[in-house]
Amino acid sequence: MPKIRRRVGKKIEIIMKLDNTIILPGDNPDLSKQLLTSLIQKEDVVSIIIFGRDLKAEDAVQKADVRASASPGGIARKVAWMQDLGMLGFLKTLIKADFGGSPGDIDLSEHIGISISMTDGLRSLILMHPAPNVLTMESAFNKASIIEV
Amino acid sequence: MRNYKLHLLLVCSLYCTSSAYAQSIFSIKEVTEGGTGYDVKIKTDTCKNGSVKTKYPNIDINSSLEIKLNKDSIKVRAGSFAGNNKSIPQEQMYIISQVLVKRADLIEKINIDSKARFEDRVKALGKVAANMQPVYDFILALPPETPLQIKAIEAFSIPGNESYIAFFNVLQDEIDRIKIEYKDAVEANKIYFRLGAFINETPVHLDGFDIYKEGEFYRVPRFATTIGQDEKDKFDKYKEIAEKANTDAGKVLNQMVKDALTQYANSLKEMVKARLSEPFLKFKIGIDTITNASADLKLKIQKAQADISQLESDIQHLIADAKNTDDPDYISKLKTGIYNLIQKVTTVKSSVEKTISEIKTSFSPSAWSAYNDFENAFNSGKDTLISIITQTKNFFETQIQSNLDITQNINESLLKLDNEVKKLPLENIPDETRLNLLTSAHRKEGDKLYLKAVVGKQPPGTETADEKTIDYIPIGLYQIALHSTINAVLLFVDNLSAEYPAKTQFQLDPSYSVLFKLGSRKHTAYNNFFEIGAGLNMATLDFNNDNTPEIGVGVVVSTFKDYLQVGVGRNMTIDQYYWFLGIRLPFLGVDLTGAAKNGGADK
Repeated sequence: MPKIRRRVGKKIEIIMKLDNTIILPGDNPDLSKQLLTSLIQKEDVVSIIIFGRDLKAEDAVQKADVRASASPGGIARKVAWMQDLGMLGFLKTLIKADFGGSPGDIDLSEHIGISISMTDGLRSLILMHPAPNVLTMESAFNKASIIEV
Repeated sequence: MRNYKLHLLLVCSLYCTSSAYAQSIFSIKEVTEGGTGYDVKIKTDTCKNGSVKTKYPNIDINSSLEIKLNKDSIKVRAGSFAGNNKSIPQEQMYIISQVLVKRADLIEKINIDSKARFEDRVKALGKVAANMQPVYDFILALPPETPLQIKAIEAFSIPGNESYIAFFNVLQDEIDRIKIEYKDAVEANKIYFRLGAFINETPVHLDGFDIYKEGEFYRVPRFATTIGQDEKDKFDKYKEIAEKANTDAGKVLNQMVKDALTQYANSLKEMVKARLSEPFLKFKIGIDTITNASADLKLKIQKAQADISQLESDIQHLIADAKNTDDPDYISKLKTGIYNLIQKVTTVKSSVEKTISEIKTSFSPSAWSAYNDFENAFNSGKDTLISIITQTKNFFETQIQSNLDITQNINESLLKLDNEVKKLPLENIPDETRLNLLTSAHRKEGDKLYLKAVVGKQPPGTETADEKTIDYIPIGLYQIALHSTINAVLLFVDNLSAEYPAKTQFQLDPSYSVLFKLGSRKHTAYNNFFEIGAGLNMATLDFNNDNTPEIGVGVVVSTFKDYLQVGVGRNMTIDQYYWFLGIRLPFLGVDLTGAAKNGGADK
């Protein structure tokens, strides 16, 4: 289970436990690509990818992780935390345009994350402002769960 | 014209992407005579161009309706009417209540067995997602400090599927809170509810909602067993046409078309004559007034005078054109003439205005008065002319609609609830009611049933009540189950006989078709225009030109409400095959025979 630790004075404290999140390591691009590919290509998972490694991204990951603990319809949810923004180009090659927009619409100055359907479609762009809350994340997962008619 | 509009509508409908059921206070079930039940729902389609099209449902003309009322929704709308609509918009209340209605089902789907088949789980998830998204969207759109949003965030901070239970509880609390608010507002304003039903414009009885008596039992016959007098008359007419046409087909058909158009032109002429004199007179008075106002003004507007003279001449020409109904381009010339006239009047007005603006400092009171008279006359005349153009257009549309027996939807405001419809306090609204069409009123295919719900208030001390319509549903009445018609049809018969070859490819012959058809609950255009039927055709033929009728029997398929038919048959007298095209008249609104319009054919 990934844990986020932060130095507080001389101590290092665990500030969050992420039960449903895959952290894509910023220092190992090959492993990150492998993890990302594996997640997106899974057919029985709806996912949210969060970009960045600042406090805003941490907060978003935490909220998304809470919502990923639910599995309505018995379908698993997962969060991937993409700390290395250089991975975005690779991510765009894995996902398809869908009713959330096209991969080209992802703008790191505006969006802190995206949700992806079981069929690899881009279902929503999660805005950085206002800061996303658990309801925003639930909505993003939900959009990724709508069945295309 | 309406047909073109329909085609346009059909083309547009191909581009309508998303469908939804409209919000209604009713939950209606149609129960057929055989006891089968069908949901009656209004559907809205959102097209790619953003326009929303509403599709009204159709039901069987001999069925009955079980109408359940969503009292919560009525109370919310009543509360909104009472003036308390600040807490939450009605539409969003509806979204919440729709989710809560499905709460049990959604929770079951959320917690579906994880060992269930993957496809079933995906389906369950999809259903949950589709139902929940509107609620999420609207809560997220609320200001962040809104209690509902804060509570929803609290609920979703709970891990796992338990969060959904908490979220549903938040929604339920919200609904309960608002209901109390609305109840208080409704009680304070003495709000009442009324529900009325109409077949076309005739009020009909709804148990518990009015004191009308039930109508006499009347079942619209499903199967035609006799030939109506209308159809017999048509058959005779077709026989006459066929005899003439077989002598000189081209000439006769030309004459038929000419007669039909003359009939329309004459009707139009009467209408134009009755309405045109008024605006012409107003223009004339306006022009005379301003030109005779004063010597000074007359001098200054000499330039405009030339235009005014031309205008007078144009008016005379237009009047002449309006009378010349023999002109083959009568209608288009008249329309162009009226538009040109408006344009010229506008030019003259500008010219006069320009002149006046140059000299108005020296205007005498009489000149101002003359100018005002002209302006008033101009505006009044222009409005009347535009009204004539609109009426001309409507005139043709009405002719076509009436010839196809199409009943148009009646505007809600024209259907008034009489005193026989009870004013019910909101707490006394029955949960449901029933409307049996068999004991409602006389009906024919294509008629409409209307349900109109209003809320009203009559504050103490006031004489008149203030009412607002909160729901209005037109429902088409059609023969949906298998039914049959017997129609007279004019056949264009292609004789395939080698023994008795025809001089021309087609011979015209009168006939009757017995057609079996099914109606559509979803597609009104199908019922009104395209309805397809199949059955038998019996024709009187004369292949051997001995002036003794031979009997032909064939199989036939029909479309466009039986107006176009095609089939194959066998001349039983001389044992020869033929194929045929058949038409009914008036064909697409044009009464080629010049016969009286069919006012109520047996269906």
